[in-house]
Order: sequence, then structure tokens, then C-alpha cells
Amino acid sequence: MQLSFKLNGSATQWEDVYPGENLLEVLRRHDCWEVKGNNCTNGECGACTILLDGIPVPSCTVFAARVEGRNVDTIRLLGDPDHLHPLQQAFLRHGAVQCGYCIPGMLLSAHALLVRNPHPSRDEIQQSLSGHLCRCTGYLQQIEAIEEMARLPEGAE
Amino acid sequence: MQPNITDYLQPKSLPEAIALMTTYSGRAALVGGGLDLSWRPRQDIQILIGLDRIPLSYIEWRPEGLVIGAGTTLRELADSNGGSYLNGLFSRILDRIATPLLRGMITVGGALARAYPWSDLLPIFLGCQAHITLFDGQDHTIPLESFYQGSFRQLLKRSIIRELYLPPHHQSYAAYQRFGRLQIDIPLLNQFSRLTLVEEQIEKASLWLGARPGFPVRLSEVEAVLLGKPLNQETIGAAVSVLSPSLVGADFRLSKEYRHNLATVFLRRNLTEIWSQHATII
Repeated sequence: MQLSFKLNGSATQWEDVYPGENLLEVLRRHDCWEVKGNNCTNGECGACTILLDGIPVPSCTVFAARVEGRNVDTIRLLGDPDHLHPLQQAFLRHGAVQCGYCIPGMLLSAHALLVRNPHPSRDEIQQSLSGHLCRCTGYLQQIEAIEEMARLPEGAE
Repeated sequence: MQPNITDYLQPKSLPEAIALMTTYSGRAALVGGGLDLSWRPRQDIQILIGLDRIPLSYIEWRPEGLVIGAGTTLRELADSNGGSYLNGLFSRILDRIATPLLRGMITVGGALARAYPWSDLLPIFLGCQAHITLFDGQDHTIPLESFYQGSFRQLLKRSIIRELYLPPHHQSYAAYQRFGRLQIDIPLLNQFSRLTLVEEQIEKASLWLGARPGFPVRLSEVEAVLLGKPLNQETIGAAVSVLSPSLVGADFRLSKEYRHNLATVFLRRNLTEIWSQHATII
């Protein structure tokens, strides 16, 4: 079946989508390697998080056909290695990235939180990351990086 | 990848969706958020009927109460003005259920249709005396409790949940407790309590125990003890003392004794929290 949607703001049309496929499978088959794949495959770890119309969801549990006509954003929405987003830079400054497997998903959840609420409390930050498993850093560094962004005046990002 | 799925259809209206259900009877499944089908693929299904293009995601205050479209996700419900229902019940409770990522996927309609005994939402909706509107060509609104007392799974083979409405409960206070290994896990027991207090007396009570491990049950004997009494330590103690061990069972996760003990703790905590909410508000 055919799938038409916006991927990171660009109109995208893929012809070879199977009705029973999930979005993670389809994205990775189309070279979106930035979406981490085949981890928990049931939405518990948060590694494959994407934004669906601005809402963070685990792409491994979304039927690909559901995104027809909608907006899908991956970590490429924020930046690339040559042009890091301020949130990505804050993660680096705070040593929030070790193996990096969980980071794209965490960044997208953090980004969605900051768009909705530019000055979240520590509790709100912790809650927003609660669907992401990180086995390296212990979460503190990511929370502190997001807190740094939350202290910025609005628009400073 | 679920290779047995051969088509994903996306109707634009409920009548169109009902027609598709009839055409593909027995081999089609509805997809709201799709989480359940993703977790538990069904080999008997070849056709998926997606509900994304039907406007079922809404939260509105109407004269009859808070109306929640079946396609509304828990995340949308928590973030909406519906969060103010029963003194912020949903704002307080929903962030204890699953994770923010999964709350963006779980729909109210999906939770009602699957009706798993361990559901976090069923005791809450039942305790709020919710009504459900089903569409089978025309709308039928019935109390949620009656819906589950009937053969609701048969009913859902020829109808679709359109919305849920929660009537206003003035001077009502509610509290919810759940116990699970982790927040993301299914609850091993949950308890919802709602009391209406008029002039310091308990005028109405609606108490439900879920994940016991069976389908949620109403704690009628406990309610009878509470009605007409002032809410204080003595009343709470009397209520907890009549909570029958026969209401809970054992499974490989918890013994019957542990569950009953936990149920009494939850009931005491919820009634005490309601007492505290009431004291704060008056």
C-alpha cells in the first residue's frame, strides 16, 4: 500500500508499505537509521520514539498506515552532527550521552515537553523521561541538561 | 510485521466503519491507538479498520457532564480541561498509569473495548457512573455498568464505541490506588473510591476494586457501612473491617491473603485521602 505523510517537514510518499507493518520497520527500511530499532519492540524502552503530530510515541507500536496524512518527526528534526540543536548541545555539556542508544528518543520527548511547557519543573522533566530506559548514565545528566534549557528565557533556544 | 494482515482500511465515518465490520465480519479488527494489537497480534484477523480519520478524539463539557470521545488518548485527557473533573481526578491519576509514551497511544475506547480485568481505567469510569454511547447505525447510550453486565463482546462485533460521558458529581471527592511491580506493569490490585459529602455526612458512595484479579467489583457492603455516616477515623475503620476476603483471589503474582491485606490498605488510604481533600476544600 502507499503511504503519504510529512517526514521531518518534507512531503514523503512510500509505495511499498505492508498493511501489517509498524512504523519503526517502515522507517528503518527507508534508511531512517536514526530511529533505533529492534530493541524492546513493545513500547517499553522508548528507544524508537518519534513525534507523531508533535506527540512522542514509540514507533514500534504504531501501525505504519496510521501516519497517512500526518507529521512524523525523528531526531533529524532537531539537528545533525554539524548543526546540533541547543538541546543536543546541552546533553553533551552535561555528559548525558554515553552509548547513545536511548538519546534520540529522550531528546524528542524532552523537545516535546519544552515546546508544550518551556519551563517545566524537575518533576515534570522526570515524568516526561519515564518511558525511556537508559542503562549507562543514570538519568541525572539528562535531567540536568533539560533543566538548563528550562532555565533559558523563552525564545532563547 | 504481522504478515496475516492483508489490508488496512481507513473509513471516514462511523456508518462506513460499521459497513466494513459487517463486510469483513469475523476477520477484521478495529484500530484506535493500536497498542493492544501490536502487543497481542491476532492470527484470526486479516483486515484492520483504522479509526484515525473518524473524528473520535475530543473532550467536551456538555450539560450532561464530561464527554470523552473514544479515540481520545490518556495523554490528551490528562492535558485537557477534562483533567479538572472531580477536583482534578484525571490530572492526579493518569500520570501514575503506564508511561507518557504509552499514554499517547492508549485510547479510552480501546481500554473500554478490551476491558481487561487489570485495567486501571475501568474501576475509575465505573466508580464515576459513566455512560457509554455505542453506534450500530444509530447511537445508544447506556450505563457502563449495564454494558459490562451484558454480553458486551458480542455487542462490539456489530457496534463501535463513540464516546463516554461522566456525569457531574457535586460535592464529590475521589481517590485511586494501584499496586504494580513497576508503573509500566499491569496493576496487581487497584481500588477507586468516590464519596459525596453533604453537611459532613456521606450521602453517596461508589467504591470499586479491580485487578483482584478478576473484573472490577463494586464494594456494596462497604458502601452500606459508609452511607449516612460522617467521614472520620471511626467510619473508615468500620468500612475497612467489612471488606470481604471473598472479593479477591490468588494468581501467580499475589496470594489471596496478600491481595486482601492490600485491598484493606488501599481502601483505608483512599478514604483518608478523600477525608483530607474534603477538609482542604471546606
